[in-house]
Amino acid sequence: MLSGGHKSPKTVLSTLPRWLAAGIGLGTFMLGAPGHADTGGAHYESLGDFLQQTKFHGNLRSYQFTRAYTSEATNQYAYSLGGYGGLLTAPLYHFQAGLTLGAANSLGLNPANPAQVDTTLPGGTVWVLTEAFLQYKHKYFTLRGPDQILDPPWINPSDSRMKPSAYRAFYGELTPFADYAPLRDLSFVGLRVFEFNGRAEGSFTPTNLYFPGHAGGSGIPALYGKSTPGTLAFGLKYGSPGKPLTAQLWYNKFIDFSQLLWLDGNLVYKSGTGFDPIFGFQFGSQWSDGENLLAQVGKGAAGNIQVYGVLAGVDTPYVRLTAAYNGITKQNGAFGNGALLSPYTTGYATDYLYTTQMIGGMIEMQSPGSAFKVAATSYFMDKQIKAMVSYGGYYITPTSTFTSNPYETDVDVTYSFSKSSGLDGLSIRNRFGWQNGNIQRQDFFYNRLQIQYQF
Amino acid sequence: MSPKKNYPLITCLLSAGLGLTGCAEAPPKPAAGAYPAALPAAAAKEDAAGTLPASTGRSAPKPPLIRARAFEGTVKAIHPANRQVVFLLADGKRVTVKVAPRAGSLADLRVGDLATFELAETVEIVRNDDHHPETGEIVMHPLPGSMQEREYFNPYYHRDGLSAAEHHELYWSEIIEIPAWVVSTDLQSRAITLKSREGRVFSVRVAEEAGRLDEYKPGEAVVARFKEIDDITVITPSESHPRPSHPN
Repeated sequence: MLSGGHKSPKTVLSTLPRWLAAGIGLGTFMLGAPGHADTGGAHYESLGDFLQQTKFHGNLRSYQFTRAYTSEATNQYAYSLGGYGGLLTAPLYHFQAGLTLGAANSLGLNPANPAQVDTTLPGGTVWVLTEAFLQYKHKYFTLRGPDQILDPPWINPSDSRMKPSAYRAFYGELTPFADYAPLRDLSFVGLRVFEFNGRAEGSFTPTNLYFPGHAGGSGIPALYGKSTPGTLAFGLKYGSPGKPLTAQLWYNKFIDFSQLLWLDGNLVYKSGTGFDPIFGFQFGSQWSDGENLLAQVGKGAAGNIQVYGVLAGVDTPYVRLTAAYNGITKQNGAFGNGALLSPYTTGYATDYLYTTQMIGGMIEMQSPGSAFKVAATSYFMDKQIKAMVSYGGYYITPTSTFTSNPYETDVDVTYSFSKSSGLDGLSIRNRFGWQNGNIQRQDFFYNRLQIQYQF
Repeated sequence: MSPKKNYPLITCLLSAGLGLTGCAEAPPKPAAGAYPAALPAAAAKEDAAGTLPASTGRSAPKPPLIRARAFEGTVKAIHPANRQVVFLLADGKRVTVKVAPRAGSLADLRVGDLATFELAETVEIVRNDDHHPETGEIVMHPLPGSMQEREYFNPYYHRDGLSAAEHHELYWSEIIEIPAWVVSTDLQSRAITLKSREGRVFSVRVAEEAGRLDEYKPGEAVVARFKEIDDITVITPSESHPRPSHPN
């Protein structure tokens, strides 16, 4: 739970989700009128018909996380039962409403000593309306807000615990070439984030993960009691899942923290031989923004630095092999000597750098330098089993937390029950990470047993 | 029809956490039908016995190869001006499709009718090398080295493949997608013969915009996309929107 001193004022924006929820209920009631039709082509003969076309989604998760250190650091454990579930109403005059409830409960199974609890899971009880939005969806554009899960690079859901991160934001996407096949997958995005709900928290606050109080974040104590106006971002995306070429260009303005221009692209060349070469690149340019909060608290403003990344590999019928590199230029005197800032993923290890591993990557180490990663990913038993083995190394400027270059080895296996079985939707996953080389922590073993039922 | 879920067993597994011992997988059930329901076998052989045809009155038997293109949906809206019909398909998806002129008038079609329709020419054929082994759905294949590949669950579940943010995506579209295997192609007539996941073999014309036909090999898994339908046949008339009775 958020324990920092952020008292979010009770603004119109903060109460909007409750009004929205009430509106959804009222709208649903009104739709009970038989024979309702709209200009978007929807027709509902009754409330039951409307509900039939309303989509329900969600999952139930049973996660158990264990951290063990060979150093003097306290071992930690946490269990949580929860997940998230919600609905997206059928369209009415192109409008839809969405509600998603995220919740987690430890069932009293966690250690009594708080220091022994892995609070990132989270360690206690959390529930929050992760999403409460109204959406206008047209063939050529989409508008959505306020409370929602977003998925651009660097403003993403970080959905590796009980529930995803969420954002109080307005989101718009243009798809002007929906009718023109060659450019159909090209879209333009603009968004404005006002408040943030971390993946282990029950409220939205005008903060990010550099503020203290976010479990699993990279809180800077001196930022206690301060706030940020949020983030502004614009993007251009090309491609869709399954297509061989994807690329995106983003400008992110993390207000009073940093600005980031981000470009990445990926190509899987379908050779027709079953052995498909893979290429990827990343480029980012960061500079400081506005009344830099990090500079105000004596940590140094965000550095004017560049980030590079390349990925090469091959997709075979049995395994996907990749090797990746990331480099971050240095600026002495800047925050983390020129570290790349990621306000919504730092500490979560869910950023977009190729070399980030399960426990961490260059963002978590808050350092310039270089990193590599090699990985083997395989889907077998008709894709019911996904197995990943990876190894990453990080060549950093030492900090108080990372006093020497860390390395990480991950083994990640997921078994999904067959769709034709009575257990359709159920997956069992075990992720094991071993971080070593960092003298401060010595060997750090992190095991995550994750059982999920998705519906 | 989805397979019956074994909820007690799922609950057992979730609540047990580590304790999977003693929980056994239920016997296999038929695969989920995730696409427009196929015309019932009997109806596929004989044309709409006892049904009310649309105004075209096309009730003459069709060659099996053609009837295999018939799919089923409930009419949710009709836009006569631009000849569009909104169907609610068996998998819960709602599609707005154009009705070909040769299908005749839409005057006898009513909202609420359960009808079959045939797919017209395919406008796009997508290679489906990431298809689900049972349903044929394209499973999310995360970009190599991406955060999604690292963090998300097995993309075996299409729903999971839609990242947490993308469940905003509409289930309402203007395209009907049929996952299938290529049986053969006829470059001369631009026809492609496909075998659907349910085993139905049907031939359709491939629109010019779908590109070259010679690049698709027999046995290759693809998804054929359709925007246009023809030959609508009502099999269960709407009760809430009755047709006016016509004196004989």
